[in-house]
Amino acid sequence: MTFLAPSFLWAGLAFSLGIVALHFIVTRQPRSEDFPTARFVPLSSVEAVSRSTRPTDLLLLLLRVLAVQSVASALARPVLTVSRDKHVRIILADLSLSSANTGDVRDSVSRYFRRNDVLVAFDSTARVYSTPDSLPSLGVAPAGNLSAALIASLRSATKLRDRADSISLIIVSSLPATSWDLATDTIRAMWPGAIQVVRVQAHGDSSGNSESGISMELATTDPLRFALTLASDNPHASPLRIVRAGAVTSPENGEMVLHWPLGERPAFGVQGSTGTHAGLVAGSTVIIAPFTTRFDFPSDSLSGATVIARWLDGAPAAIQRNVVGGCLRSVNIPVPQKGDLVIRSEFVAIVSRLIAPCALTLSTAPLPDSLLARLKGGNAAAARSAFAGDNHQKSPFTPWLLLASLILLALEQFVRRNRKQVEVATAAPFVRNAA
Amino acid sequence: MARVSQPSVLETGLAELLDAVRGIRWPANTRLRSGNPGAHASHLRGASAEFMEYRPYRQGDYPGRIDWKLFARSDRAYIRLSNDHAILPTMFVLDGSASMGFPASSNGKWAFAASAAIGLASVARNGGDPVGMLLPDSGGDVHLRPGTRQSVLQEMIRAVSNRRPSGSASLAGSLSGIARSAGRIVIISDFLGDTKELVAAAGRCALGGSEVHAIHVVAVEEVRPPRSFHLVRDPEDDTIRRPLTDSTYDEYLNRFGEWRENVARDFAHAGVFYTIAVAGDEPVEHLVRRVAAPRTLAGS
Repeated sequence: MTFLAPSFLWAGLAFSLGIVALHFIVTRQPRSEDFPTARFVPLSSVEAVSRSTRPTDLLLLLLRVLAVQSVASALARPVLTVSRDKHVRIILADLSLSSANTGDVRDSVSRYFRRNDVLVAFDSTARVYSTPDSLPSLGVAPAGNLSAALIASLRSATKLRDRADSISLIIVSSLPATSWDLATDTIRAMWPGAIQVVRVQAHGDSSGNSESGISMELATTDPLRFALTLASDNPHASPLRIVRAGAVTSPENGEMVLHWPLGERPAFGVQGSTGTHAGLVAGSTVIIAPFTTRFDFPSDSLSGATVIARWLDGAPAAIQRNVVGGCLRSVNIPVPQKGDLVIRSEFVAIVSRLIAPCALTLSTAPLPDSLLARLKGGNAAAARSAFAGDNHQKSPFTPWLLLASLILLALEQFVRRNRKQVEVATAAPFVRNAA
Repeated sequence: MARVSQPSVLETGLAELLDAVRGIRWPANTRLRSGNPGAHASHLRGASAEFMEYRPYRQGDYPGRIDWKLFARSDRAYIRLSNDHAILPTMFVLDGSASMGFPASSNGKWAFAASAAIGLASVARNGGDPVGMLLPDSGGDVHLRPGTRQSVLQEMIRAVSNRRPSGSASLAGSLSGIARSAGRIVIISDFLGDTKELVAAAGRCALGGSEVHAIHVVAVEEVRPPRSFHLVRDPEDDTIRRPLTDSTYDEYLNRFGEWRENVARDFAHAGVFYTIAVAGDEPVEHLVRRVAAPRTLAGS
């Protein structure tokens, strides 16, 4: 057992010594002398302060000292000393979209993770997980934030300092250049040891990934097919899945899902009054044509969403929401079965904008070697003494010790009151004689 | 070889006292009923040589007491009367309770009271009166019956010399037992015990015709306590402990003085000759002279 604030123990000891000293100072009646006419002396109490060779009221003394020691021990915050490992690891797993897939990250983490290690997953923020299996899928952030991850590791190391002699830090990430920000260098200097970097496959590293390209579920008679064909001349950098019919599923692995239903309610949309719009605006492209719609995007669906295209009256016609695994675009633009609207250049330009990659710009540029070297640092793991103790650690014994002190103080009151009653009973004959 | 016992300090001091009181007489303050011949005037008219008056003969008078010479001259029958004298058996009741052993260093009250008893007994004995002594004690009273024998004073001196003040024996209970055998009862005490009962018992003795003296002995330290006292304790009642300090000093003097006045008034009302004596303030000889002087009741 150890104490987080041992100075309170010394203070309690000093206080207890004071109490013991006070018990050597007693008030007692002085020695009396025979005086036959003592009955004519008015009755009044007489006590004198004197020193005793032995402490008086041993039970009271014991209760008082125990109460003080309980309070002092409670304030000193005793904690049980856990068995300390020689070495523990803090593993930072990058779950941003910069990583190729979740499986690579999990595999790498599982290779290093041991019992009592700490697993921190990070993208734009950092969270602690118990095991590699509990890691979630890749998030929506384009790149992990090394600064946030390093701060999380410093916090974890503060909690680990009583459980291990040394702490090493492992970063499992593709480490794109965008993961390094202006604060990273300063925060890295706060980690007192070396950092081991385990690089995983980056998002753009696999050219043969079957997930790339456009996946369309369009009927051969769907007029949108022509517009999409005209609009998708450029190869698509990220996987695109276009859903025209049926239920829409969540995107995965940075995938972009374009939900453009034939006549059904688009995602995030609600049934509204049938109305006709005179034109459509997307970016700098405007097309003047009648569009009759039955659905609207309510105001609450726009929270956290980006409007890609609007009707001429300003109402949203297509919105985009970033979700876990990618982004989802919902399009409420009816495509006429007849006419040349789908091949008009303005409409093709708008379609091209609708299938353009999400704003999640994935940069696959790796971290420069110089920054990587600064990130790794030396070769030694950080010693536990390099981390400050956790001053906010709670002692499980404190409430019990405070409760014990309260009980002891109540007992002290009880014993003191009984003692006074005995004194009054002893003094009763004197009072009777006075009467 | 015969052993010679050494005289005690009390006995040594008594020798001077007995010399000093040798010429003192202690007449009875009232006429006595007793018919035994003695030094004190009696109510009875006897046939002694001390003529007092003539009284006409009444039927029933003894014919032999008729003054025949006067009858011859006056042809009337008269009886010659003369004063009769009687003895006065005197009993001393000496309080030997713990409160009399004060101050503890000198036993001043006890020595004073014992000396006064011996001095007065000597005076009474010299007047031809039988003297006796009663020392009440919770373990058994010491009772010396009144007598005129030569050794009675020595017996009394030995009794008080062997006694150490202790306990808190009742004086009132002992008083009733000696009332029949004593014409004069002298109570020497500090009256800190059963005062009310003692006053009542003494009053009954006085009503019964006895001459009762109450000699109240107080120590000079009780009248003017030294300022060095702090916590005082009643030697006869350990539960009475009081602080005698500057704040309680004057109140003590007032209470004690008021109590003494009450005791004196109660004894006087009971028909008792009351005398207060401060041990250490006056010699015993003076007290003996004051008590033995003829006087009347203060309350009468």
